[in-house]
This record gives sequence, structure tokens and C-alpha cells, in this order.
Amino acid sequence: MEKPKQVTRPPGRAVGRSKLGSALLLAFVAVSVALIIVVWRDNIAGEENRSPSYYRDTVLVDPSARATATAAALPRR
Amino acid sequence: MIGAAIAIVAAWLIGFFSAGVDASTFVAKVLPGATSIDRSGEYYVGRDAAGAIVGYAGVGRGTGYGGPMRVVVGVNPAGAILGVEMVEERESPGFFRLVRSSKLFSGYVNRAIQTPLQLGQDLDSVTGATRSAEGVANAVRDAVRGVAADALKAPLPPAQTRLEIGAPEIVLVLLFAAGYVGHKLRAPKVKRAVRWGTLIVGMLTIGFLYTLPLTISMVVALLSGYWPDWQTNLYWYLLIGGIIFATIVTNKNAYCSWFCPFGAFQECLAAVTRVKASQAHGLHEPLKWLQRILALVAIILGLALRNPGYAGYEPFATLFDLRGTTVQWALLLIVVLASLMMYRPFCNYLCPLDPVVEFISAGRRWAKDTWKNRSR
Repeated sequence: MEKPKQVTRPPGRAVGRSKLGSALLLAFVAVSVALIIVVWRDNIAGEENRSPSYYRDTVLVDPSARATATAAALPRR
Repeated sequence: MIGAAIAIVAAWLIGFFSAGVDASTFVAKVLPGATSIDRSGEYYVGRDAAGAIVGYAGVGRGTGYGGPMRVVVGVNPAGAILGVEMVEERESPGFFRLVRSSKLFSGYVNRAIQTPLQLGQDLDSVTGATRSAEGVANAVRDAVRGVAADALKAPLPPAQTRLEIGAPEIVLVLLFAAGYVGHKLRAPKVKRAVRWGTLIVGMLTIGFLYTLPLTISMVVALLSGYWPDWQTNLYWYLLIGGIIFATIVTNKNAYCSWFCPFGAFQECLAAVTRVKASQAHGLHEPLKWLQRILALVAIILGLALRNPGYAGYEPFATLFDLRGTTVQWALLLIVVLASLMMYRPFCNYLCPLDPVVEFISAGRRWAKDTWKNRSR
């Protein structure tokens, strides 16, 4: 891969552009590193939450819940 | 460099000596109706309340994208598969999610063990996770063969492994050759044209067509000793072996400079906004160290947890396969935006593979210097 060449800082408006470039680069790296850490966390967490192959995930149901018919399912009078 | 090597060895030892998963805890799931399960040598026997045999279960091994995997397969006395359960795998969670949500596991149920049980023949493959699905299929066949021979006393014919050479392998060899010839060219215009040619071909083939770029997971799999069989994974060996060989012999990073598909994608974006390789800032060197730390953490994570899939953070599959979590899409979006403003930002500051090649190169220098000093 081609390595960026170090060049001497140009004067005036170009210095401002260079500072902006450095700030953008720092922001890019900081946000990317934060996202990479989240990717790693998700990778490891995904392993802990895995469900057994073709069986469905275990779903916890509130024992006090009752099956009800919705209004749309009731026959019209 | 020495510190990094010590950390990698320590992580490898931690991973190596950490306990594996006990397959027997999964046996009951593949023998429905069994009230008691006994182990008999290499297989398990499940019986119902009356003592009649419900089925047999065996453990099989295969190799996926991230490393070895184990499954347990239940077979009834008539030779039909009762169930397949994953015991252990080391795939990238994003890839293996596709396998789990596919009909691969349920597709085995009620199939006779004498059938081929081959993906693409009597079973559907899993698009986007071919190697992971192939690993599962190999492990299932391995388990079935064990049960057939040991429990049912009806051995199946021996498995035949044939060498698989296809378009990806041929394209890869041609790209390596073009990169080798290209970097020796003297005329800058011709060299530039050849380089753009290999970059575009690499992006379209290795990237978008085959989705087989080099990843840090491959490096961790190599370090972990999870080497897949060479007959069916020739591409894996050509890619990793080619990079190591080219770095040791020519001291050039043939892959990153000449045909890395993600690097090519960033260069295409840079060409749109005419971003040049030279940048006027003093942050380059400190940020290179951050990149080395990222690579080291990725390798340590993959080795210590014995799962190469954990190490990966590159948004390659998100771009080339249009698949990824929200976070991976966000990372890709940031890289795309940054590539419009700076030259190959992911390669230069985030990619874990550049430090790996740097490490090989440093090892080469050290070996060369040591040899020279001894010869004096």
C-alpha cells in the first residue's frame, strides 16, 4: 500500500485546511474505533445468546397472560 | 515487536487450555422420546421408558470459515436422522446467523443416512455462508459415518475428497502474478495502468463476485492451527500462502497494494474527488500505532477465545455481500465518507492486515540481519 508522504506545512489558508484535515482524520479514527469496539462486543455477546440449531428460541411468556379474541376476529352481529 | 509476540503466545496458550464444550449435554436434543441415554464407546444410545432403543447419537467434526466445528447427530435404528445439534463452532456470528436461520438443520430430519447428504445435491446450501454450511455438512456426514459403523454395524462407503480448483483460485493466482510483474515495471504510466487494472479486477472478482477477501479471521485461524483441508480450501492456502511468500521473498505487500478489493473500492472513491496519497499532517505515525494496537487486540481476542470469528471487524462483508449489523453499516458509511476526503483511510489507519504484513516484513528483516551478523 502506498504510504502517505510527509510534506512541509504550507502557509496561510492552507494551514487552516491542514488543521481541518487533521481534525477530520482524528474524528474519523475516534468514531471508527468506538464502532469497532461495539462490533467486538456484539460478536462476543452473539455467542452467549445463541439458540440451539433448528429449535426455536425459548420465549418467556407471562403465566398470567390469557388468550383473547381480537375485535376483528369476532363475527359481526 | 517482542511484546506483541509474547502477548500473542500468551493468548494462544489461554485459548488452548480453556475448556471445550461437552457434547453429551446436547445428545438429549437429537434423541426425542429418549428417557435414558447411555454412552457406549464413541456413540450414545437413547432408550424410552420401556427400555426400547429410540436411537443412537454420534459426534462429528468439520471445518468452517473460522475453524473446527462439532455437531451431534441422532439416528434411529432404521437409519433415519432424528436431529442435528450444533455443539461448537467458531464462525463469525454474522455468517453463522445465516446458517442457523436457514433450513439446513431441519433439512436433515428424517433423511436416510445412505443418502449423499451433500450441499447442492440433496440439501440446499446457504447463500452468503457457503463455507460455514459446508463445515456443518462435513461434520454431519462425519457423525453419521461413525454411528453407521459403530452403532448400526452397517459402514458407509469411504468418503472421497476431490481437489477443487475453480475460477476463484485461477483469478487469485493471475492477480498475484500480475502484481509481481506489475511492481517490477519501470515505466510509471504502464505501472499505474496495470495497478488500476489489478485493483478493479480484484474488487469485482475477489470482492463483489466471490466475496473472498483476506480477513483478520483467516490470520487468527492460521495462528490457532485451524487449517482446513487443502483439497477443498485451496483458495485459503493460496491467499495466505501467497501473501506470506511474496512478503518474505520480495518484501512487498502484493495483496494490499495491488488487488485488495476494499482498498480498490476506497481508491475508486478517492479518484472521484481526486484525493492524493500525500497528506500534510503529523498524525500519521501516532495513528499507525493505534492501527497496530487494533490488530493486536483483534488477534489476542480471537486466540484467547479460540474463535477467529470474534476478531473480525472489517466491513468487507457489509460492502461486498450487503450484509451486516447496524454498527457494521455505520462503520462502512463512515469509511465511505472518509474515502472521499482522504486516501485509503481504512487501509492506512484501521485495517488489521497491514500491521500483520508489517510484522512478517519485520521478521524477515530480523532474520536477514541475524544471518548477516553470523556470517561475518
